[in-house]
Amino acid sequence: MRAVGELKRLLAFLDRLPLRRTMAALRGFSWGGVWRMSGNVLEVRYKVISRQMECMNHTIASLEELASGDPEIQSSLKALTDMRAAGLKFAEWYSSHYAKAHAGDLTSFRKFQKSIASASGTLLAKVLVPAWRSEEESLVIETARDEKDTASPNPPPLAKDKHIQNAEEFVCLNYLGFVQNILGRLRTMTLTIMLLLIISTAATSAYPFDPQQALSAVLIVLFAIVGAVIVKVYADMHRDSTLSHVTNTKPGELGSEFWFKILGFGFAPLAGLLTRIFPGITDFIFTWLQPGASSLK
Amino acid sequence: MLHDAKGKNLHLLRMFSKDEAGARIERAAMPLTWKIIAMVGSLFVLFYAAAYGVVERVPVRSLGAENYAIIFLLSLDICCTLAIVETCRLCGLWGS
Repeated sequence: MRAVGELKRLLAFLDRLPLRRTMAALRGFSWGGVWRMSGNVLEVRYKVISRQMECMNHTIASLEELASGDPEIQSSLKALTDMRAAGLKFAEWYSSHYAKAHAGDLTSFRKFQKSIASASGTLLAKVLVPAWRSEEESLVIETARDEKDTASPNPPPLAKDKHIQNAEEFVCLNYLGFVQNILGRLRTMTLTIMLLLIISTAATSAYPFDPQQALSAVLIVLFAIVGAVIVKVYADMHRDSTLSHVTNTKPGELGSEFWFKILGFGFAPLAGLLTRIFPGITDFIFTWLQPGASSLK
Repeated sequence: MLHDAKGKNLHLLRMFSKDEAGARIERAAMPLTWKIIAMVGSLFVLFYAAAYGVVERVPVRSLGAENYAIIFLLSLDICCTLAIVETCRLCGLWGS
């Protein structure tokens, strides 16, 4: 598969840029949001878009304040003002359609997204990379010194120039929106797998199909393979440096939140599997539930 | 586009671009493609054939008619196949 490892690779590349200092300083993003992402993707997307619009205004204002005749700055300003125009068109469409459940014409949104990508690319290549080349302060030494003293790492110092700070934030939000979408997709995939396991175990437990041992063995092997992969992928995600910076957790470590969520994901299929292997559990549960169920009648 | 000292274009940031990294990730995240259909189809047939190959008759028995057992087996096969294909895609999209 050609696309193997694309998201992990992109996150690793992002961590190699000084953008990581701004990722670490972003507020309002947590693992809770990442886990919940699949529930209502649009709400989370619109939140990021509104933050991007705010940041676009700050970046335009700070670049205009420079009043520089530098052609690189001028072309960045043009990309941002084009984005503002596309954003206004989308906002106009959104204002008249936000309450309509079947509004599906995303032409203006697509144009707006393209203008965001174009503005991000221009800022990265024409403002940020040249500015990073002329920086003198280390981001590594500062981080290492802080990590000794604190349980959670302090972010590296931000850029000193306001326009660089704003441009970094703008580019980070663009990547963050994209990564959030893909994390939402990963979560949907995980939920689908869990649902399929639950259906399989429920179907085999509900009726005395034979051979019982062979069917149980198939489900155990499936659960083991699928469970191992999901735990590995989610553990990798929690350890990832870029995602840890964004969610203000320590890179390379799994917190209690991770284990609780994994238990939450795995409980239903595991319970289904156990009732399949040990039918006595089902009887035991029913002996507890039976009196309550009878009293409801 | 970045330039060197002589003004020559340098293609240095392609791994951050929408056309390269973005397009590849989005392709891997697509819910349904012909590649996925082919994967599901082949695994479905493989599992079904393997189950028949082991016992050389309907591999699952029930108290009812044989047709019910076949329907159950097909449903279990499709569930297992979809679970495995989605797991492979989860791995592929993230990169484990």
